[in-house]
Amino acid sequence: MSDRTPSHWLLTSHALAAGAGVAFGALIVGILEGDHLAFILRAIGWWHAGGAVVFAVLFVILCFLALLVTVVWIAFRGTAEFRSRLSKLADASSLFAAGSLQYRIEMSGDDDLALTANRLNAMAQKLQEQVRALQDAADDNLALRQDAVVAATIQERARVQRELHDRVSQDLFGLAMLCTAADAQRTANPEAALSLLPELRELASRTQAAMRSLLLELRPQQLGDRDLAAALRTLTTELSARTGVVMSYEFRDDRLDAARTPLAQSVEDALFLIAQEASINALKHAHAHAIGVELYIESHRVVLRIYDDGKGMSAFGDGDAFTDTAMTSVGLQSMSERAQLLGGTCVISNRTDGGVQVLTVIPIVRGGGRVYGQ
Amino acid sequence: MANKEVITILLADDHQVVRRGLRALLSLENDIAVIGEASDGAEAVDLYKDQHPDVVLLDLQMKPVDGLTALRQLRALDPNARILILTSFVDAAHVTPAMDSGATGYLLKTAEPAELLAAIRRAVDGGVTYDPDAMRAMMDGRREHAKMDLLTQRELDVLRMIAKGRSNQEIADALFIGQKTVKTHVSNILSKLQVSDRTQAAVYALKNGWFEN
Ligand SMILES: Nc1ncnc2c1ncn2[C@@H]1O[C@H](COP(=O)(O)OP(=O)(O)O)[C@@H](O)[C@H]1O
Ligand SMILES: [Mg+2]
Repeated sequence: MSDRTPSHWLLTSHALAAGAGVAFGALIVGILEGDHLAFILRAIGWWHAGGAVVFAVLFVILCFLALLVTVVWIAFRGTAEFRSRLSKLADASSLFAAGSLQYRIEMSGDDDLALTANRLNAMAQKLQEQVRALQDAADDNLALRQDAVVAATIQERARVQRELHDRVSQDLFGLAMLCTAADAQRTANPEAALSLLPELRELASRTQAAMRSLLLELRPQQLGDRDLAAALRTLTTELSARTGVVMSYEFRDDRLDAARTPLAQSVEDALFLIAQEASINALKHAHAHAIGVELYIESHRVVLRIYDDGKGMSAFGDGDAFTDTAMTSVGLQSMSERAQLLGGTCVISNRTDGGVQVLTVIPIVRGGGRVYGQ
Repeated sequence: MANKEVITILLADDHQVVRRGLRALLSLENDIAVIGEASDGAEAVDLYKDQHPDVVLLDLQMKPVDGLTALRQLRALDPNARILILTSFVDAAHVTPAMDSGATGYLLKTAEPAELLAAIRRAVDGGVTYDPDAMRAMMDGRREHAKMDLLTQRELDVLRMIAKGRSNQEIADALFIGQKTVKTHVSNILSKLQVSDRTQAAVYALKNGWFEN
């Protein structure tokens, strides 16, 4: 930007003014008289005879205008540049927040903005390293976790057992008692016995529905040796077949062919379990007609989205995200924990046009163990 | 026809279907009359105060006030109350506190109607009826529970986290101790519980309902 001193300015403008004044006078006189020699002399005469004053006034006004335009122009250019540099920072922070940790801000200069940009870059770098460390640790833990998985399975089984007790066996008990009552009255009071039949049928179908919902909870699906994209396809097909609810699945790998390294095992595991939990939630709670599962692999992050067209979650308004702290239930909490363990995020929100969306973003910091087919 | 007084019954169960079935069954007996239905423990206690039934059929799992709480309140209210627990739970964690709180009987929701009727009539005559499976669970639980006393508080904390599927590193971080210390705790736990690895320890604790609450 400008680094001229004021005195420098004054000198220049003075010289310019004198020269321009003479030329101005010459121009006026020349136009009036057409005699070129006389015209220069007269011009000098005009200058001396007070034209200087007229000119000075005009010149000052002109200079003032020019200065104004310059100042406005400089100021405008300054803010425009400032703004665009600032918005670079804003864009970068949203990119970072969205998991694109590989992004770097390019900004020249040595002012505060450039300094901030450098710091943000350094922060992203650090985050990237931390995410990498996290995911490495998660992979290392995978072996250790075999034990944990067994324990978790036992706990899960205990939970399903509890629910079996709580829902299905209660209904069956009631059903058995009613049947006994109907049977006992068969000869003495056939009317009364027959009148119990509709109730028995209704009860039997309710029990069946409870049983079906419980079967959903028994999770035979495991990632196993399949790659995530294939496993999710099987998951959606099977859940859809079991429940009759339409489930769509979309997979896209936006990376260049050469860059299609497999995802880390821990990332695949987590995404599979999140997809499963979210799908089953949608099937159990949403009363949805259609459920969608999308998996997008981008160059530096994986995006998993599960959405339904059901009744939404009542505790929150439209579009409001369920914050981590607001989550108290196990299923919702486990989804966000799994994402966080890998340096990612999992946001559960009501969609504006109805239903719930579970959006998981996990940064890709390196490859893992599997090769992706389409 | 009434050779005896009619036995009055209060049904307390949060499942409407269960109440419906029981009522249908009991209504066929001439010497038994259902005089009230409650859907949770608090309602049961209120109705008991009003109607003084001869026998209460009490479910354990109810909300907001559960059956165990109601059982204790009823005992305090009327030491002679005849209260039959009727539940689908057969584990020590459910049986033991109910027995300790003085239930007149512990019946399962797999019981035959005849057994149920017999238990009600026996209760009126001052007898008790305990389901054999529930009894066995309670005795086993007592035995296993003794082992819990062998563990220190810290070891219990560690075991609780193992049961949740946490790794040593996670346990160390959560309890603000080193991984080495965690490993020491784990090996102490294994030897005290006489199991060979952490998974078995977790299974053991979960199976015995150590960390139910
Ligand atoms: N897709 C959904 N649509 C509507 N409600 C949902 C959905 N997912 C979750 N919920 C609500 O959030 C609650 C908590 O879910 P979760 O933690 O998975 O527990 P659970 O599935 O065991 O009930 C559910 O009980 C349900 O009320
Ligand atoms: Mg759930």
